[in-house]
Amino acid sequence: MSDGRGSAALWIVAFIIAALFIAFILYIGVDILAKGLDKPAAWIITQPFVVLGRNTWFVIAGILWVIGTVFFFMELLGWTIRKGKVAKQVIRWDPVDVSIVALTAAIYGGALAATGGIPIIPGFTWVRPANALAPLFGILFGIPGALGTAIGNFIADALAGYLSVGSIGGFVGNFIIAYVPYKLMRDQTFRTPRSIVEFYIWGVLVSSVWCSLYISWWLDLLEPVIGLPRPLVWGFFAPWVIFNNAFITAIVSPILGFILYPPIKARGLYWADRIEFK
Amino acid sequence: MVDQFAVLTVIGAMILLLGIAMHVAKRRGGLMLILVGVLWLFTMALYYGLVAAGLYGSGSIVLNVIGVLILVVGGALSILYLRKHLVGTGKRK
Repeated sequence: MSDGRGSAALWIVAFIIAALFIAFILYIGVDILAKGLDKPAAWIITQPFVVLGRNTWFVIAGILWVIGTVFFFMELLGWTIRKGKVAKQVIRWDPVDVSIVALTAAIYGGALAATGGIPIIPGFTWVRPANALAPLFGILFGIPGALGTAIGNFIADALAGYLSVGSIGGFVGNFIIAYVPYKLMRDQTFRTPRSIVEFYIWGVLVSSVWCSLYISWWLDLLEPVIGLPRPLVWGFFAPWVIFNNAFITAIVSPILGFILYPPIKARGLYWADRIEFK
Repeated sequence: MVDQFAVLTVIGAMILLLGIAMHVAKRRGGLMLILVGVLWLFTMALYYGLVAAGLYGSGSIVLNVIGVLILVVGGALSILYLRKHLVGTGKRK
């Protein structure tokens, strides 16, 4: 097989994988609407939580919470995992990095708040189109982008009336949405079959699930303070956050990533051009 | 019962003070912590302001308008600051 044919075949495989991801998420959305937004226990996406139960998920999510928290502080303190080893990284945290944090926080937080309340079903739920930006900020800007995403979500929580100590979980949880594809996608150009497939695995599936479980564990732990009942955390919040993140990210983010990668790279703002490892 | 909003405000103040201390000591990351602390406290001020104004749960479009303002004004100020400092700090040779 020639290179051209091989490349075409890889593109076809990548598009099929992307289409399957989108179809699966749309199917979950249709299932939610068909069974009723007031019956989360019947949704397909809730079944793993129903079957395994709160205690099992509390343990699984607890492990992910510890790992996520360790990574969060490691990265901000200048350490990272590179080629299977703990390595020192030098993020400059100069005015450019700081303005990237401010820019991503303003865009993500502002866009989340600006579109808050766009209803799918009035009075119950809404779409969050700005969710599409979270993984992209990590992929394009690295740790400064992930930190801006975390702050943006914190600001949006205040504007939505959701601010509580639970927002600390949301802070790190949204950092993770951006961090996972930043750290685990080997090709971040959105211009190769590999890049597309990697995005759907790390940027859509893993980051959405990890973020949801991270926040859910925190909300469960702090139930006496926050007051959100545990059955609601695992029977509605956790599956809903997975769906809400994955839905818009799967459809919009690859297009935005394809458009944004060249200008970000050309201006020297792409994370790999601004970071050093020792 | 713990006042969770007071806890959040204290955390924001601690981040800001740590950032100022690191910046004064010329440690890398000080500027970043100052920004995080300032934005954290800005969020708390936003929260207390909205509570005082009675806007939570009102269904008012004001909350969306504030979001648009943060998006436009915050985004524009950040881009201006970024462009001012971007020259010569971009891609490594």
